[in-house]
Amino acid sequence: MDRVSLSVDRGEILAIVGESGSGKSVTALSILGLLDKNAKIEQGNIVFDGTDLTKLSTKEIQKYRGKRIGMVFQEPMTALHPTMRIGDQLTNVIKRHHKLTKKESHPIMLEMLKDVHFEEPELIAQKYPHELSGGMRQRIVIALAMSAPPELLIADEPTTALDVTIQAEILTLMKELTQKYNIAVILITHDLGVVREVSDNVCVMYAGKILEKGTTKEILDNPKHPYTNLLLRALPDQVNPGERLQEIEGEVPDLKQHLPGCIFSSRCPLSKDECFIKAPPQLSLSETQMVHCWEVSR
Amino acid sequence: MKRIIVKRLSLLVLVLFGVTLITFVMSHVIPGDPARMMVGQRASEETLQKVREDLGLDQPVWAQYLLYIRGLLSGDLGTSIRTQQPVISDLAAFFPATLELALYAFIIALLIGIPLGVISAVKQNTILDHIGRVFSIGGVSIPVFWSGIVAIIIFYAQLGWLPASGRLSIGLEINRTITGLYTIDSLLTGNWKIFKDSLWHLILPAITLSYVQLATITRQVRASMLEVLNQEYIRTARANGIEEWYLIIFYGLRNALKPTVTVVGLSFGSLLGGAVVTETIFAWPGMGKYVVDSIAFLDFPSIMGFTLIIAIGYVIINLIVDLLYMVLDPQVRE
Repeated sequence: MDRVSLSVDRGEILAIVGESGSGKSVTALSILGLLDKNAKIEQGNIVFDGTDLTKLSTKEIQKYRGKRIGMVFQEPMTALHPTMRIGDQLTNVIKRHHKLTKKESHPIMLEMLKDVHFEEPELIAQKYPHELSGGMRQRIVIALAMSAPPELLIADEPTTALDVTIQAEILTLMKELTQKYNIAVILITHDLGVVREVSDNVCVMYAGKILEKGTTKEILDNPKHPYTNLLLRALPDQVNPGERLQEIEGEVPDLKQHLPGCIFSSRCPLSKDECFIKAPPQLSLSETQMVHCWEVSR
Repeated sequence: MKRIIVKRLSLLVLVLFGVTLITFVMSHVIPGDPARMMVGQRASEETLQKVREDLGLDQPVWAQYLLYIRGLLSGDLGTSIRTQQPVISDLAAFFPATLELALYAFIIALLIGIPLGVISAVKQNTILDHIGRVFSIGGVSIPVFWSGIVAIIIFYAQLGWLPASGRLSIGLEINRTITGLYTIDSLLTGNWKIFKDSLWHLILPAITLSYVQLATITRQVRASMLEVLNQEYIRTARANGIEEWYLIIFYGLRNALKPTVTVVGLSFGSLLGGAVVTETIFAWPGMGKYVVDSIAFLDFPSIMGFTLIIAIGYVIINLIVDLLYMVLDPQVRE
């Protein structure tokens, strides 16, 4: 990721959109120091609320995990302890963040389960993960991440592994909790349908760079960057039945090579010579919408 | 839970029947004449014949087997040809010594093996891990007769710290046996002197015997910990702010123990059966030594009695392993 600066207000959802392989998940993991031992942040820093998280020791970053920054992962099937009851997994986290005993955490745990729409929290608390469906498990994962509650929640493709019918349910739940707990949410997704559903602001990223950002309405109704346009056209509901789905030709470039021009130039249908030579200017289109593109500047 | 126990115990009967059949056939088809061993080379043909009749050796093998089974059903394991004692009372005299040795070896293997495996996995590829690995490779590759003798040379002959043979010092005797395990009996009767002495005598043979199991357990725990610690639920828990040590023990080890339990169970079985060499080195008056002597004497009733006890031990251990599995994994419970 390259000099990406994001800001999210409490009670708001910012969606980061990009195709697979653009480094979204790796960035999310690196924030809380959760990358594998063999992966390293070579340079740069991650600043959260004035503190550089990359400079923190394991012990110090520990204070951020769950407490100030929560995370929801893509795969609910494997994200829960397979042999520990749901209630115990939740109280384990709650008692740490609230500095309570296990017994004192119990009512909070039940409250959390109710918050993620379980009608019978007592019953669910007794269950093991394998007794729950994928959607139910993801709700538990969300409850775990919200239990502090943190100031910032990063949800990395929270609905990708779920059935379409469950997706909407999870998204509505996330939106609801964002407002209830007044937390800032970064939603990482490749699905513009998800964006339309929940987010307040959108940031379109490509190969580690921001191409365009703005409010959800601006980006969806009035996209300026060719890439955003292509992404929107690739949505299945943009074509009539029987027609071939639009695709964006080519692949995300290797993040290791430094291209002098616009990062998207190699795949952009509108690219001209200057796009390959010089980095595109940053253009403010409104108070909120911003785009990096030569074509828009012309 | 209950259903499984009942099912397993009824299976035990079948297993034991198979074990008796196999050991009986094997001990009767091998060449050798126990009656001749008993009376000696110079006894007359009539004496030999008479002893044969007494032992039932003149009858066809299948009739002998039926006789043996009939005895078994009434709790009679036959009479040892060598000691002239009922096999059951011989085993009762020697089994507790073996059990005590195996139990202590087992406890040592668990107490050292599990933490060592965890440390090796958590500190993977560091110096601690390398030391742990060399240590456990040693365990599985160094034979007991060698490590036992080296232990005796160092701790008994050179340093003089620990006794090298028997269960108690000469002159000491346990006055009352309840379980046959000296450390437990002396504790129950409050005899501290015997307790200390018997514990003292257990140290070298138990450590020697435990080394192989310890190594196996360490390697198994290390391997399954490495696998479990890479699971996504560990990452989720870490992201949720669970601190590292708690994560390792309650999220990692708990699940890593599942495959370990099987290995551990089987290793306890082999401790019971495999104490033969250790008992011989440390002159430990246990079942292993008894059965080696019996084999040399073609004493098939006691060999069969020994095999039967070990078989029962294995089945019971397997049952315990299955039950533990159910405790550790709620999915198996259904």
